[in-house]
Amino acid sequence: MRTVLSRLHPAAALVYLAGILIMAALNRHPWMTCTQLICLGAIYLYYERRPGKVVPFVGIILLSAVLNGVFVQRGSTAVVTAGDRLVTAEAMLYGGNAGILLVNVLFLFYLWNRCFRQEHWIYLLGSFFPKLGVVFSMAMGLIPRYKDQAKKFMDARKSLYRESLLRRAMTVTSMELTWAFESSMDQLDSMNARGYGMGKRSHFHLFRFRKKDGWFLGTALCLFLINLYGYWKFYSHFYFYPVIRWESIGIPDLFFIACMGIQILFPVMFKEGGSHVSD
Amino acid sequence: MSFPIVLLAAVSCLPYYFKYEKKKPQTREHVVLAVMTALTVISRMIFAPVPGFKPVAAMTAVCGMAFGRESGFLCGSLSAFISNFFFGQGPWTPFQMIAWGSIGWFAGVLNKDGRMEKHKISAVVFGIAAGIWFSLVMNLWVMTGAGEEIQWIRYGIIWVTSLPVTIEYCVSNVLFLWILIPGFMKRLNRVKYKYGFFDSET
Repeated sequence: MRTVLSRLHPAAALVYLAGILIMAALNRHPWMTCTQLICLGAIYLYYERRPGKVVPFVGIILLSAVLNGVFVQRGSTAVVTAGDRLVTAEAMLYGGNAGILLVNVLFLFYLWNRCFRQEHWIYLLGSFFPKLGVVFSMAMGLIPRYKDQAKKFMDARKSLYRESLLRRAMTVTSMELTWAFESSMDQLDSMNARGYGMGKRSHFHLFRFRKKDGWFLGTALCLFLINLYGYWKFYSHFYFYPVIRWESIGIPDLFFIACMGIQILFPVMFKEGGSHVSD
Repeated sequence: MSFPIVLLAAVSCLPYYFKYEKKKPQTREHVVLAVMTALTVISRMIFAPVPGFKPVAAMTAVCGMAFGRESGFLCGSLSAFISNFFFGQGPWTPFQMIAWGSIGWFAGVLNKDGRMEKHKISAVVFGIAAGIWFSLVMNLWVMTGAGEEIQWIRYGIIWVTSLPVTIEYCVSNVLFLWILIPGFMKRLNRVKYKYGFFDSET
């Protein structure tokens, strides 16, 4: 699954991740939020390999449940009464559900950061905003260069002068700025020499849209649309207050729960490999 | 999480990006923007161990002051986006992009006649206002991230609880603007003069 996602064509990966993000942000129904929590939590554990890593997320859910229970005076099933404050089961469950929602989004962005890397963004930005794509890719290349140069300046100042760290940092910042702009002129000349901005030019990209990416994109889109229909038809309304009314689980519910799970976990079914041109 | 608010924050940067794309290609502008963005990202990375105390807003403001409001906005929003590759992307990224981008934009607008550059007191006022503005925008994320309903009372409570961090933002902005404006503006104005950058805009 690791290489399936990180080697996908950026368009396919974006549709998959954005589809889950939209469903995670829209759904309030506990069946759906819990299904997402289990599936995204499984992916998180698959990457992290250490069960202890989920403890902070469990903490967020519990804290959200307790805080909502203490501060929100709605609901009809009393759990605890302290003075004139009433903690209800409905308020705690509502808070817990909101915590699950937040944890789902955090899990999803963990996955997003793991498999959607700089080169994916450069490809996408370059497709929609070619000029900003150039700026983005240049800035990404300059960051390590500037860091190395700042270290060289620091080391040189350290061996040449006896001065406080603050003074050294100020001098190095000033030197770094001058050096950054002076050296950028070489880059400017180089870009001009290569004819940047003179007309339509070809681009080099790491990715190529292949049949497999098409299948992935199609599957992700279909599952997203099915789940969006399920949300619109069945799961857009769920009330915690004044009392939670659970409907008995039916065949359509099982179908949509399964669809939600498959939407998140289906990359597991795809074979390793991907769309890198170097493959 | 309130998805429409996050989406709204994300798409609010797009008009400016499209405007930049429509312009005639200016290699000089691309290079300067990339340099300023890279320096801003590095400044955030250097101060990573100190939460909230960052020179990003000041660097963005300096970029806006030196190269105009458009560059200020792009430098702020791109710095937020790029630096989050190191700090972690999330639903908070669009809010940071719009907050830092707008700080750069306002700095560009307010320094059109060089007022902020000349009078330190106006830079101090701007630093405080930028800290409060950044906090207001990021509190919107806290509110939308923690619940689906948008209530002014909740927003107010979040703002009150975030007051110590807001003060930290303000202090760091004022301090970094105080330090950066004299040295950086002198050098950036020299670069502008030497290479004829952004003649039409500033």
